Amino acid sequence: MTATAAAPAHVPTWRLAARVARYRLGLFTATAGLLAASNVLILLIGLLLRWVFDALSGAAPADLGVWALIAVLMSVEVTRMAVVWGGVVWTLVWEQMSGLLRLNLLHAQMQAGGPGAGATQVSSGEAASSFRDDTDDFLRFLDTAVWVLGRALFAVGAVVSMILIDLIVTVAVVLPLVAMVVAAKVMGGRIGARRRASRQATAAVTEFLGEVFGATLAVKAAHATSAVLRRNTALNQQRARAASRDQLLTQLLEAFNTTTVDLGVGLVLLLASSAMHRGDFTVGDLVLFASYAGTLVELPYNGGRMLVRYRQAGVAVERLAPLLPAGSSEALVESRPLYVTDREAPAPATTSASATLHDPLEVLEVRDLSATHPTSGRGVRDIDLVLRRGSFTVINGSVGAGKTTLLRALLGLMPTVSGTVIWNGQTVPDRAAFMVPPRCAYVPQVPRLFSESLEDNVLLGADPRAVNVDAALRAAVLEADVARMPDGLATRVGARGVRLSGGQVQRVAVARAMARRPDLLVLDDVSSALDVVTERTLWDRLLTDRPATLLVVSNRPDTIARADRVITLDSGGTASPSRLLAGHRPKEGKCDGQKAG
Amino acid sequence: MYPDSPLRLLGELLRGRRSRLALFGVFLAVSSALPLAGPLLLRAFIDHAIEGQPIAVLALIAGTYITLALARQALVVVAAYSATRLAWMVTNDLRGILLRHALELDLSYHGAHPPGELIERTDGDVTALSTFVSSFAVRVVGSALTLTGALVIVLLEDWRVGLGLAGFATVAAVTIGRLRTSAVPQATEQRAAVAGLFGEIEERLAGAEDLRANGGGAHALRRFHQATALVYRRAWRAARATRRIYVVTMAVFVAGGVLSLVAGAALYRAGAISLGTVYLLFRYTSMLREPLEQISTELQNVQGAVAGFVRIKQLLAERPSVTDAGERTLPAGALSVELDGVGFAYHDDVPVLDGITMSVPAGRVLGVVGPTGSGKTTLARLLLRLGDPIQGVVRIGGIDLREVRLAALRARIGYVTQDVHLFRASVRDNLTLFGAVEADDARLVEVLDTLGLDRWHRELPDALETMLGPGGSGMSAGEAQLLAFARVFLRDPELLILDEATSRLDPLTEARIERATDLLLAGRTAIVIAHRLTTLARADEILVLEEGTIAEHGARLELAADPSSRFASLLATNQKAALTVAAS
Repeated sequence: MTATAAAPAHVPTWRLAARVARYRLGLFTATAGLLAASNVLILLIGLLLRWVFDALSGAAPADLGVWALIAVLMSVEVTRMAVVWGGVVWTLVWEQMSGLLRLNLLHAQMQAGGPGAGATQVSSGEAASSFRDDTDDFLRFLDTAVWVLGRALFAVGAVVSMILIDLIVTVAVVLPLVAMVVAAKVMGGRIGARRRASRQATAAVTEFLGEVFGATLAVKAAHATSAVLRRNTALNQQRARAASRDQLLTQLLEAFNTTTVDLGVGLVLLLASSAMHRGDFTVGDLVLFASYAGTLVELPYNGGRMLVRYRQAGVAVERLAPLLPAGSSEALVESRPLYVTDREAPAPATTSASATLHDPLEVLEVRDLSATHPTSGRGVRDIDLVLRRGSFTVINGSVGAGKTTLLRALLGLMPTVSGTVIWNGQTVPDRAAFMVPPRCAYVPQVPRLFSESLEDNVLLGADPRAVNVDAALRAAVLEADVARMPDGLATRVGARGVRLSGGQVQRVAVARAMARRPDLLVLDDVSSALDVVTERTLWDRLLTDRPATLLVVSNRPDTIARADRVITLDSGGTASPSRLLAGHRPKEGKCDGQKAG
Repeated sequence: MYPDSPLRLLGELLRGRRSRLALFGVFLAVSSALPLAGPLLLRAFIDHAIEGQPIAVLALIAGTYITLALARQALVVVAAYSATRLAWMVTNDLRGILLRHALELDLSYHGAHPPGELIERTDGDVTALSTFVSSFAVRVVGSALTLTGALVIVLLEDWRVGLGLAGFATVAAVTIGRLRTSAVPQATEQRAAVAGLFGEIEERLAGAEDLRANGGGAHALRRFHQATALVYRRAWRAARATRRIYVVTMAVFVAGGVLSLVAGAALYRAGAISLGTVYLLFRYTSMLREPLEQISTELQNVQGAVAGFVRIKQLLAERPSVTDAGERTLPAGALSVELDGVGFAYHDDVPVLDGITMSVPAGRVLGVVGPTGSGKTTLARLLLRLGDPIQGVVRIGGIDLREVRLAALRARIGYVTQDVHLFRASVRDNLTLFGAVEADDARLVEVLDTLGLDRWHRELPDALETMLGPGGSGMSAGEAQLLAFARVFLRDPELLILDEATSRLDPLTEARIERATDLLLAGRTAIVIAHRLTTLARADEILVLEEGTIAEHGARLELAADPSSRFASLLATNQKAALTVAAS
C-alpha cells in the first residue's frame, strides 16, 4: 500500500446512520409506522380511562355508558396487540443492516489492493471482536432513535391533552421530566467514559483468550497453564470493576426514571389538592395525568439513552475506520447486495478481466525499494532486483536481515518508504492489487489454512474445472499424503490447520499458490518443516514446471546451490554481493542487487 | 475435578459468598415492599378529596407519597449494585473454571474449534449468564415480592376481589410459564450460528495476507454470505418465537385490566366499595403487570442464558483423553526415556506409531530422523503426554507417564518447535509465559545475551515492557526461534525435546545457537528431531523412523561409519549437496 492521502473528511454519525436506514427503506418505514400507530393507541387508552372514571363518579355527561366505554377500551387494546406483533419485522431490518456493515468491513479486509482495500489488521481476535461489538453499538443508536421518535409523537399528544385540562398541573408533571433531561446530560459524559473503560477491559480479556487459545500447544507444553489462569483472573477482576462502575451509573439513571414519575404524580397531588377541593379537577383527570406521566417519563430517559448511544455509535465508527479503505467511514455504509435468502451468492468471475488482459512476465525490475517495519524500525533499504522469466532467485541473510520484509514490500502487503516495481517495462501503480494471481502467488513463512476441506483450501474459490488440483498437489509433493488420508481431498482441515503437520501445511500453501498457475511464485522459506528428501523433490518439481519464475527466501545450501541468482541481505537490510556464507561459494555472476553508496 | 452440572457449580460458588447474598436480600426485600404504599396513598387522597377533607390533609398525603418514592429508589440502586458485584464475582470464578477445563482438553478439540468459538463459550456465554443473573435476581425476586404483597393487601381489603385477583395472577403466571421455554431451541440455534459466523470471520482476518496475495478474497466473502444467511434465518425464527410470547402475555394483562374495571365499576355501583378503592383495584391489577412483565422479560433472557448454559454444559462434558490421575513425581536429576512397545493412532485411523521400543539413558542425546509424517512429532507429543499410547508404555525416569502428575511432568520437559507463538504481550510475558517461570529482569537479560539476542534487546523501544506480536515490535522468524530457546533456557528442564527447532535459521545464527544448545544439553537428556543433518552432529545416538516404525537405531558414529546404514546414506546425500555447492 502506498502512503495514504490526506485524512478523510469526517462524516457525522447521523449521516452514516441515515444511509444504513435507507438500505432497506421499505421495511424500515413499515416498522417506524407501526411504532407510531402503537403510540397513538396509547394516547387513546389514556383518554378512555379518564372517561370511564368520570362516567363512574358522575362528572361526565350521562349519555356515555360505562360499559360501552370499557368495550371500546378493550378493542383499542386488542388493536395495539396486533401492531406490537407486526413490529417483529424489525429483526429483519436489523439483521440486514448488521449484515451490510459486516460485509463492508470484510470486503475491505479481503481486497488485495486498489481503492477498496483496508489496512491489514494487527490482531485478528480484536478485529473480530470489533466486527461484532462495534457494529452492534452503531445499530443500537438507530434502534433507540426510531423508538424515541414514536414516543415523541405520544408526548406531543399527551402534553396537549393535559394542557387542555389544567396548565399548572401539566407543568407539575413536565418539570421533573425536564430536570431528568438535565441530569441525564450530566451523567451522559460520565457514562461514556465508564463505558469505554469497560469496553477496553473486555477487549483485554478477549484478546488474551484469543492469544491463549491460538497457542494451546505452547501453553500446555510449557507448563504455563497456571500462569495463564492467574493472568486471566487478574484481567477478569479488572473487567468486573470497570463493568460494575459502568452498570452502576446506568442503574442510577434508570432509578431516576421511576423517581421522576412518582415525583410527578406527587406534585400533581399537591397542586391539584385545591382544584379537586373546588371540583375543577376530577378523579378522571387525576387518572389521566397519572397514566400519561408513567408513559411520558420514558421519553427523556430514552432520549438520553439515544444521545449516549449516538456518542457510542461515533466511537464505534472510529474504532471501525482503521479496517476500512483509507480509514473512510463512508465505506462502512456503502450499499452492497447481501445474500440472506436461499439464493446463493453468485460465484466470483473465475478468470476476471485482468487474466485475459494480463501481460505475462518477461522482466520484473525493482528499484530502490525501502520499507520499514512500523514498530521495530528495521527493514530493507535501497533494494534493486531484476527477475527474468524462468529464473530462480534466492534471497538469504542472517536473522532479522529483512528477507520477509522485502517479499512483503514487493507484494504490497506492507507500506513502503520508497521504491518502484516495473513489470515488463510498465511501472506498477498499486502493488497490492497487481501482484496477485495470475501474475503472482505467495506462500508466507507461516501459512494460514481455513476450516474447510483440503480441496477448498487449495482452490480458495477458484473454479474447480479451470484448475488442475492434482497437478498442484503433485507440484507440492502432497499426492502421497492426500492418498493416505481416508477422506482425501475432502478432509476437513481444522482451525489454523492444526490437524496437519507443519510440513503438510506448508505444502498445502504451495499447492494453493501453484493452483493459480502464476507467472511469479514467491516463497518465504517453505522448506523449514520438510525433510531433505521431500524438500529436494519439491524443488525438482517446481523447477521443472517452468516458465514459472521463482523468488525464494531460503538459507539452505541445497536450495542456494540450485539458484540462478542469490541476493544476500546483511543485518542492515541492504543487499551486499560480497558477503559469503561459510562454506558456500556462489556461481559466477550470481550475486546481484548492489547499490553504490 | 470435573463438575457434572453448571447449576450445581453455580450453587457451590454462591454458597461461598453467603453474607453478601444475605445483605443483598435485605435491600431487595425492602425496596420491593415500598411500591405497594403508593396506590394506598392515592386511594386515601381520592376518598378524602371526595369527602371534602381540608387541603392540609391532602397535602400531607401528597408529601408522604413523595418521601416514600425517593426512599424506595435509593434502595433499588443499592440492591442493583450489590447484585452486579455478586454476579461478577461468581461468574469470574466460573470463567476461571471453564478456562482451566478448556485448556486441559485435547489438541484435537482445539483443532476442531477455532479460538473465536472458544472465546464465545468460555467468556461470551458466561457474560450473558452474568448479565442474566444480576438482572434476574433484582427484577424477578423483587417483582415476586411486590406481587405477593399486592395480593395480600387486596385479600385483606375484600376477600372476593382478592380471590379474583389471585385467580387472575395464577392464570397469568401459568401462561407465562407455558410460554417460557417455547423459544429456547431457536435461541440456541441462533447463538450457534452467530458463533459460527464469528469463527469464520476471525479465521479469514487471521489469514488476510494469505487470501489477498493468492486471490482468495472473493471466496472468503462467499463463505461470509453463507454464514450470514444462516444467522439471518435463525434470528428471524428466534425473534418470532420471542415476540409470540410477548404478545400473548400482553393479551392476558389487557384482559386483567378490563376485568378489574368491570368488577370495580359493578361493586361501586352496588355501593360495596369507594371510588378510591376502584382506582386501587385498577392500580394493583396494573401493578401486577409490571412485575409479571419483568419476570417475562427476564425469562425471555433465560432462553438466551439457558442456551448459553447448554453450551457451557456441552463444554464441561468434553473430556480430555488424558486424565490427570497420577500421584507421583519424576525422580530428581537427569531423566531417562523409555518407550516399550508403543503404538499410537489418531481416531483409530492408520497407526502413526507402531511397536516402538527404544530407550535413551539419562544425559544422552538422541537424534530422530525420518521423512515427514513418519511419526516424529507424535513421539514428542507422547512424551509430553499430550496423548496416551494405544499400546505399550511410555516411561520417563523409569515411571509410566500415566502415573505421574501432569504438572510435575511438564515442568521437567522443555519442548521447542519451529512454530513459535509470539503472544501479543510484553517481552517479559513472552519469555516467562505470563509468569509461569519466576525470573527477575537481570536473569531475563542474561539469557537474552547468552542466546545472541542482546542487540535485539538493546534496540527495543521499551526494553522488557515492549509489546511483541502483531502490532507490536516485530521479530523475524529466526529471532523468534531464539526467543523460544530463551523460554526453555529460563525453565531449565531436565529433558529437552527439540522439534525442527533450528530449521528456520540461517547457518550463521544456527551456529550461534548450537553453542548455547551445547550448554543447555550438558548433563540433560535430549531428543532432537531434525531434518538438518548438521543439527544432529551432537547426538550420541540416532533413531531413524519410517512410516511409524523404527528403521534403524544405534550410536551415531557407528551408523555414520557403516556405509550400508540408512543414516549413512542420508549423510551422503547431504554431503553431496554441499560438495556440489562448493565446486560450483
